Amino acid sequence: MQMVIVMERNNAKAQMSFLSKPLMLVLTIAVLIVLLQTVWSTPVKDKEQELTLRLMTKASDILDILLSSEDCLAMRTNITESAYAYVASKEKLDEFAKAYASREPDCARNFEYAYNVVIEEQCDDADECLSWRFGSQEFSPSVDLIGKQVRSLPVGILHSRKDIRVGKATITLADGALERIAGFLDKVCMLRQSEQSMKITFSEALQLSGEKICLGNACKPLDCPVGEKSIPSGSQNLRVSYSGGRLEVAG
Amino acid sequence: MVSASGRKGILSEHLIDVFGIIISVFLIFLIGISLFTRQAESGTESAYMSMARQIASAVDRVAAEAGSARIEFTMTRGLPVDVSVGSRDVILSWGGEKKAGASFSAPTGLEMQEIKNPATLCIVKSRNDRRIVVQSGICKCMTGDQRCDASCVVDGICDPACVRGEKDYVCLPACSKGGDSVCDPDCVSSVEDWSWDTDCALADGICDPDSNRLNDGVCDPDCLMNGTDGICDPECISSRDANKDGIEDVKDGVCDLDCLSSGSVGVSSTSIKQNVTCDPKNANHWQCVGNDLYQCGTYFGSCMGGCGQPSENQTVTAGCHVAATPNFNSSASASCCCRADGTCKKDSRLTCILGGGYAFAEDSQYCKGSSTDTIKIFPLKDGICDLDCADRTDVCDPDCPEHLSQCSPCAAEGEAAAGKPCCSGLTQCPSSGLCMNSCCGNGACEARAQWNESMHPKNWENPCTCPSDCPGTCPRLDSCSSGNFTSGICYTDLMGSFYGSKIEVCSDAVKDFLDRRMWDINEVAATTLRVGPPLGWGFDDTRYCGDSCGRLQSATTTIAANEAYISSEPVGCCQSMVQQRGCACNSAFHDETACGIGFCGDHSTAMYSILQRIGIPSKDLWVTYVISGSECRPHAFVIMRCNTSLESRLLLSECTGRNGQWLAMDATGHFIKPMGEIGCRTMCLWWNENGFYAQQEGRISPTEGWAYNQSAKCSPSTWEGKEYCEATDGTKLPCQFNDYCEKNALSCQDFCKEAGITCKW
Repeated sequence: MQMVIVMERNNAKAQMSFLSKPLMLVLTIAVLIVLLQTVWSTPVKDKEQELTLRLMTKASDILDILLSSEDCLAMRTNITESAYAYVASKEKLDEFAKAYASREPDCARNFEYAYNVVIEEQCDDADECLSWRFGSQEFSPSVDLIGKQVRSLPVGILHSRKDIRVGKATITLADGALERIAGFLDKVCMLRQSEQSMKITFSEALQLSGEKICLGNACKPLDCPVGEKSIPSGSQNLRVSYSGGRLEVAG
Repeated sequence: MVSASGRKGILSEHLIDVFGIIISVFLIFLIGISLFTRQAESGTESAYMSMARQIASAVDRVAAEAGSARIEFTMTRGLPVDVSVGSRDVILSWGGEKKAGASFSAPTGLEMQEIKNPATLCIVKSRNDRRIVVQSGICKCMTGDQRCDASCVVDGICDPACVRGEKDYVCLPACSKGGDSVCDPDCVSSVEDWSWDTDCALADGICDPDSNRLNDGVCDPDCLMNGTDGICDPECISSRDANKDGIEDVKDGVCDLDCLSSGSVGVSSTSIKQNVTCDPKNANHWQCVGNDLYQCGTYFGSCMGGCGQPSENQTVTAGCHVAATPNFNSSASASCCCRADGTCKKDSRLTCILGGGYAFAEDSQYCKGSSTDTIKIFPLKDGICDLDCADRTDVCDPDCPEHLSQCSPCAAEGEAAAGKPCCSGLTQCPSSGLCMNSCCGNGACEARAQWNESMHPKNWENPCTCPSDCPGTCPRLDSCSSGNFTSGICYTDLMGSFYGSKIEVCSDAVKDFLDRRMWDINEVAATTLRVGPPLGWGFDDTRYCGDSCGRLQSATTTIAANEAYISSEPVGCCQSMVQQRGCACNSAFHDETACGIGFCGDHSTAMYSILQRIGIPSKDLWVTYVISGSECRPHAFVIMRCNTSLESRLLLSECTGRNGQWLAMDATGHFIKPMGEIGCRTMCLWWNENGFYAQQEGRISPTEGWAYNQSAKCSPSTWEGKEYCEATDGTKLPCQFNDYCEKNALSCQDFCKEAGITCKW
């Protein structure tokens, strides 16, 4: 009789073990998934926030340099040989708008980003307000655009010693595949480097032609001419060399 | 009871459990280690990356300062790292080959700055040379140590440690002292850094722009042989004339033009850097600095015959007004442009540039034709004639005497013009080609000067304007006499009106006009009737608008205005019909000298005065008008009968073979035609200085007379073949004389009625 009871207990234990083990396995896996998701999602959120912050900082820094450096737009007076930040002369703005109609000025250029700046007078009669624009005309197509930020600062626009008008300077800074590739090529050109490479992924075909690089429909001028080349979309390892005033690009 | 096999099974199951637990714990440990290691590495890399970005941002922030500035950056503790700052990026290196980088936007102006394991970075921007220097350590300026502190740039203190014969990227203007035999190589650059050390004046291939215009007693040999680098080293100029004879000792192949816009030798850098306002119209801003030069700040110009500044529209009598170096580019909102004849005009649209010693506008109609003058470069008068400059036709070295005449934009008095215009107020005498105040009195009887639009003002020298040089060659012409009828005609909607004191046969203007044409009727026609303005007469279309009768001109006004008229300078004049630009009614304003050059009624009055004074008998000379064109415009003529018995100077070429026939001299349309070739069915009555034709030869009876001479035989056709005329009120009038007569004859008949006679057509 006792033996029968022991055997029945063992059978019950075996039945419980048979049920509890898969259950425990499922629970463990679920806990692991939650844990891993937490571990992985935190850096992704951090990176997004960091990117936004980085772009905002860069946009502000570049706009500051543009408006404060006398190599850029800051007004220099010959009377005291001093420079005035955040005051730009109309002549200088005209000069910038003409010289940098499609590229960033050298006095404030970052090879990782592209930007354009619009400086507008603020006056009652919109028809009489002047505005100037310089910098990149186009940015990466949305699919290859990593981020974009817009920042503004007030600026004085000097028409004459007695006529300084209020204006607003707005910078639009973009980070994307086109900006990074074009910046990389321009940097190799500027430093006359040889055998440089860059790993990058882009979703549209890359077209190189003359002094222009295009990603999809967005194009950007280059500082050095390149040969005609088409590089398919996807993950690419671009190899670039400067030689004889030209860039040789291999995908 | 448990069998042996049953015990074995239980033991085996427990062992498996134990092993399972051990393996699980081991695996969890491995995974944990792996996760934490990766996280730690990622965190470390992120920390370095973050630090690189912070340094890059600090570089950008220091660059964004308008003046010199410094930022101290403390490195993150516990993260040993080497820092490399390039021209556009910062790279941190640690643990062998691990690197993190970030780019910045402002150029440092330097290639690569390497710093080993710094605890603190001092980032310094020098406004002078715009370099950004990154040094290890806190930002301080200590002059006692042997370390060159870039921070001293901000404090304006000289750190002797920075003045060494080696590159440290730090140039301190406070340390730049000439004569100490120490040259800081960091201060030697081809860009302006506000630092110049005469000890650096070596043949190093760099002409330092900070030495520009400085009288430092040293000639930088690199500036000596480069004549177009924009840097003027006065000592380099003076060094070329060791024997002090005013002429370059050795022709060195360099025409140094760098002192073009610099101060003269002796002008210090301080004065050059002052802000100077150079108003082209303000004589007080310009100062004579030599026989042929005047100066305002860094601008130099040529002063032919002395320094003088004209006011607007004033003729320059002594000297030019703005003649400057090619660098001169007056951007004043209201510039003044001067023509080769010396007249200046204010025009806010103009930007004056150098043009052969005068300021011309590039795109202004006012100065059109003059802007193509060869540009001459006027170097500074430095007391030494540069032999290489003397060889150049485009350079006028004022120190080379032979250049003075050839470099003048205009020929001076007594000088042969030789392709150049005579200077202001001078006339090129036809006999000698010399530019003189007056050709009269030179003993040569000059032919009429061939004048055209390029010769302004219209100069006249001929037998009749200079009798002293041409005795007996000019006919006696002073028998001036005229009648009492002096009215001129004007029209209001086809209705004519007479206004008095317009015919002026004996005025000085008529005499001057004829003097200039040697009292020759063919000269009158050639320069008045057969060509357009400015040689021929022009008229202002707008004078027909509105109150044309209120603007009726005397012969003197019309003649004088046309004589002074220059088509390229319609000063004060509404755009005339001649220029085909049109002008709204009443928008013209009257100017006694230039505008109001007349409408056809004025022209006929003036033409009659001239032809009567020249000697055409009154009985052969009449004034009249017809109604012409689709708009029924009155068209005024002077009618003249050809009389071959008159002396040749009074015979128009058109009179050949037409003795006794009548010619219509159309002063407005610029043609002369026999009356038979023009339609005149709408012709009004004739009149001259003695009154109406109907009262003179045309008188039929005491109360009746012909309106015009029936022998005129004008064409019976209608004017211009139009079927009807349209009056200004919109009324369409058939151009048949009979149909029109009622209205036209009404005013013409009224004239006769007022004169107490009935006219007959």
